[in-house]
Amino acid sequence: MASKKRKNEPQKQPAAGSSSPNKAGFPQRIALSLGSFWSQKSPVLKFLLGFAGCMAIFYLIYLSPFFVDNVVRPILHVEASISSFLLNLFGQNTTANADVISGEKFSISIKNGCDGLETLAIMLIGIIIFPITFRLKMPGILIGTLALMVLNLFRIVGLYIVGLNFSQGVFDFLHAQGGFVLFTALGVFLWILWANWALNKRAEMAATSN
Amino acid sequence: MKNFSPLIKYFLAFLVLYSVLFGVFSLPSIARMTADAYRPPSLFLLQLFFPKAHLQLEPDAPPESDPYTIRAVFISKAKIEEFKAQAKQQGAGQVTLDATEYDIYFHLLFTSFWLFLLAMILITPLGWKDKLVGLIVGSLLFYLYTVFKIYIFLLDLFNRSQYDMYKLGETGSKIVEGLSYVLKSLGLSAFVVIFIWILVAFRKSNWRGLLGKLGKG
Repeated sequence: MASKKRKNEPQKQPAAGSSSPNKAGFPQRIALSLGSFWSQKSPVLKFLLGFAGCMAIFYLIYLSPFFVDNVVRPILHVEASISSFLLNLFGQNTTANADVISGEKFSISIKNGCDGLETLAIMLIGIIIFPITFRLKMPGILIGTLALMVLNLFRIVGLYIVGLNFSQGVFDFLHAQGGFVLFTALGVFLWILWANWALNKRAEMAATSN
Repeated sequence: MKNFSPLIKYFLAFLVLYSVLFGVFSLPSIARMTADAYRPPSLFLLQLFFPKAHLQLEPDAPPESDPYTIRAVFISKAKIEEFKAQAKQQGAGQVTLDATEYDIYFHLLFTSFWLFLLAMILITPLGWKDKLVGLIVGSLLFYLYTVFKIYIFLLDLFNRSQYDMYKLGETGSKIVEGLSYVLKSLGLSAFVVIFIWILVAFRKSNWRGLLGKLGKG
């Protein structure tokens, strides 16, 4: 093995330090471009690896029957009750039974996926794995969670009002297609808002300590 | 709050851009064109993975053809040969076979989330060359993700005994069934878009700087 290594060294050196990459062999060129891709993207790729890993764990938990029965369902029931309460403030005269909000002319059932937990997970994982001190993460986690849960309640209330007053097409758009995308974008926006605040705060702290 | 006003402007720009793009791509003629452009390369890729199946991707059938839907029509090639042989034995010149159809709501599978990706890349403060590269690479990656989704949905179908084309073992069946269930989640598509957006729009030089720059305008 040692002699093999020594044999390879003189061949590798000119390619790695070469000023004309055209002379390098195909595998070396691939290695060089991968190396340059990694050096350009390394912090982003590390973040994405952590992000994808955490999301995989989230989905394993989120879609497990135990979690659905013991966590998601109670959340849906609470969301239905609060949404019905808010709808009644707007004079809609609704009642909530389990995950169903019913009125005189219209009713909706809040199912998995409408709970806001996926968007919340995207935002929280983004905050948790962002390389910054935990003290600066806490306000993002608390305020972000509260903001997204409240916004999801207004989303449910909005969907009920749209379903009651507009066509199925408008309801579908706001429910599954554009509406879902806009809610996710809101989660990303909150994450960037927090990252911006946290980076500025860290700069301020560094300036004060200097 | 003053610090965040440029960020709010970015979000409003995203809202306007996404709504306009969504409106345009929801026009039946544009939706049909997008689906028409999507079908041939996707069929080519899927046929590579399913050589035992006779597979077609078609527009939704008239008279009430839905421009937002793609129909996957499939039948086992072995079954075709079997029926052909039977027809030959019986001296029949033609053979009629019932293929199975599987509707794919293309607007939800691809368009809604692809437009999300386009809007995210377009509003990110990057040079036009970087934006263009991001749009091309990002669209390609997202396209491949959606083809993978169709592949898993079809594999899950083909694995069931009545279609009798691709039989997986117990573990394989469980994995494909689970994947098919997870891939139906809209949240996962949204996550994939965000993943691709970060991958194509950010690099070492702008990763933290850009997050800071978004706030400073």
